[in-house]
Amino acid sequence: MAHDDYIPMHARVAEITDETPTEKTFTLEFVEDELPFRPGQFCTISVLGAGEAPFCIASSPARSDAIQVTVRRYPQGTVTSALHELAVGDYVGVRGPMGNGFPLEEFTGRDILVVAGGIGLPAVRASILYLLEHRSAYRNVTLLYGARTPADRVYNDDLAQWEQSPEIVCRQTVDMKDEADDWDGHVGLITTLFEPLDMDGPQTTAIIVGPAVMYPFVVAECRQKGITDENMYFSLEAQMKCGVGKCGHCAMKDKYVCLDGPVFTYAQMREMQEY
Amino acid sequence: MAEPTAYVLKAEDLRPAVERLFELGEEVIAPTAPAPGDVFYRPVQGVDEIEFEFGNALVSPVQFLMPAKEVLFEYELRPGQPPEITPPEPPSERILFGIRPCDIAAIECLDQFFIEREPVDTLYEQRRQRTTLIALACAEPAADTCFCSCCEGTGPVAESGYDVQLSLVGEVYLVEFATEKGERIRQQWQDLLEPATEELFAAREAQLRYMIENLFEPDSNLAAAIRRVTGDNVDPEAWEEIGADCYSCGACSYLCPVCTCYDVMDVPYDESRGARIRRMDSCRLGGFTREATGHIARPTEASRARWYAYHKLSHDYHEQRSNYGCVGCGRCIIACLGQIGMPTVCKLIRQPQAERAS
Repeated sequence: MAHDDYIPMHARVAEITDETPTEKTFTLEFVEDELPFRPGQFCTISVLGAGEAPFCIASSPARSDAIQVTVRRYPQGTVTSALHELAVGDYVGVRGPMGNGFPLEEFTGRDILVVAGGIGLPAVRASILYLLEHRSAYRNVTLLYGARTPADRVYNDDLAQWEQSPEIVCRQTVDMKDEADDWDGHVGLITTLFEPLDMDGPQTTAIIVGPAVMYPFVVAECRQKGITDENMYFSLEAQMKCGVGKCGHCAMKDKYVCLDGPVFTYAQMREMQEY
Repeated sequence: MAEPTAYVLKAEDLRPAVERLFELGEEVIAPTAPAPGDVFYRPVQGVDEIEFEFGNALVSPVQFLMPAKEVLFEYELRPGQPPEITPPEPPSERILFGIRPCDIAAIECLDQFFIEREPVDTLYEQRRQRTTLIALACAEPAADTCFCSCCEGTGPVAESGYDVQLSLVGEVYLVEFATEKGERIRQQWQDLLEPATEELFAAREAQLRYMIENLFEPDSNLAAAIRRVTGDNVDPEAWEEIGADCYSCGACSYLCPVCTCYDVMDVPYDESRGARIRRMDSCRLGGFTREATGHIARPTEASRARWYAYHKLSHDYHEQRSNYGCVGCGRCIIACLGQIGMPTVCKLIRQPQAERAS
């Protein structure tokens, strides 16, 4: 990490974007330091007095003097609530980068399938941006994004751009919609986006982030398409306190999600999940 | 650790020797007995405050290396500019005197976990580097709850991990100096010491054998439990049985000298000032794995009992601590509101399904 131990770097809130009623994206500019990171790595953000919590870095790794994180506010979450109260110009503390990230450089020459459910999209946004910035190194890049309702969708600008882009196949769905919703796209669970895809399974690496309930169904679809468990990469969530593999909260079997993860292949997860 | 150099100290010279520790100008922490039977390790000003006749303290002296509560930094919020962050003062030099071998073994585990295993925990490392450990080997089990004899050499005499070790053998102490920090103490005690003989080592070995064979309850059989946990060969009913007797109070892990888990939180002093602290935590508590979403990864006593046993006994974790997560100090037996201290846990783990059913 850039800073030893528990001392956070200062960052200024430069921009706040309302994504949904419960999700905001914060652009944080570092005061003195930089934070070079890999896609899929995370950092902790402190609102001093409220505490500290881990968040995936959602911005492109091309920029290290500022990062973006998207935060869903949970009623019981003291840190997420405090973050949502911040205004542009306020300061937060940042520690990181933490964790392993997605080994995107190992995926060169392959088809990439990104599957994001709900608030999982921020965790893969850095990877999507990286893939697009290094587009020639990869074959087909496909994004499947599912949200609960049209109102729960984040990164509407990005998604609109990706839908138009010849460089990425972007398929979206919502689980359900109301009469009032202005949504003429696909309706159905994220798994329904797999069926029409023409994929070269053995040549494909999948990046999958979403709520845990989604995983078994997505794994089944990926296997159906011929993607091996070793080529399915997940970013796991766990309760984390220290972010440096010591406090014990995120331990799963013999792995620390914060240190050995948060990215694991499904082959690894099969060994870990029971604990 | 370098090969220890060994000397003899007459038993009656122990107090004068300890008195000289205070001349080093460092903080001395030693066992004290503020009330009969209650033993606490505390900073002491002189040898008269020290309790020499004791088994072990309920709260392990590892608390001076890994305190139950510790300030990570203090902050002050300032309008219009970044908050001011002040790290804690570096720790001062100190001597921990009278540490039992089980706790020495626990400190070796902590060293492995916090220092050898990256990333280094610098707060722990700084304290550890400035601490001299003087071990007091057990000449008899410290309590009837002791089971270090089942724990691969964690006691009743320390094999490593100390700077100085004193073993009472008959009327004299065998004194081993193992490190540069220990050498400093040796120079202090020089005129009280005589070179140790082969016979003295042999006598201690005989005494150790006699203790292990006759004075300890040997039924923990940790090794067999470790094999079962490592091989994931435990009857699932065993976890339910252990869980049924667990009150989720966390006392076992709070008192365990090997347990390292902690929570990190902010403690505001007022509107603008406060501290970020870390505080001892326990995987036996229901909320230990609770996420902001409300999801709890290990929601039942049984699932937490299994995790606790896995973390302490599985070979997977051996590497991270250089030992299994139990040194046989027996504190969990004393603390448990139920009947599930580590030896009982081991027994239930070892029990095959058929036997349990009958």
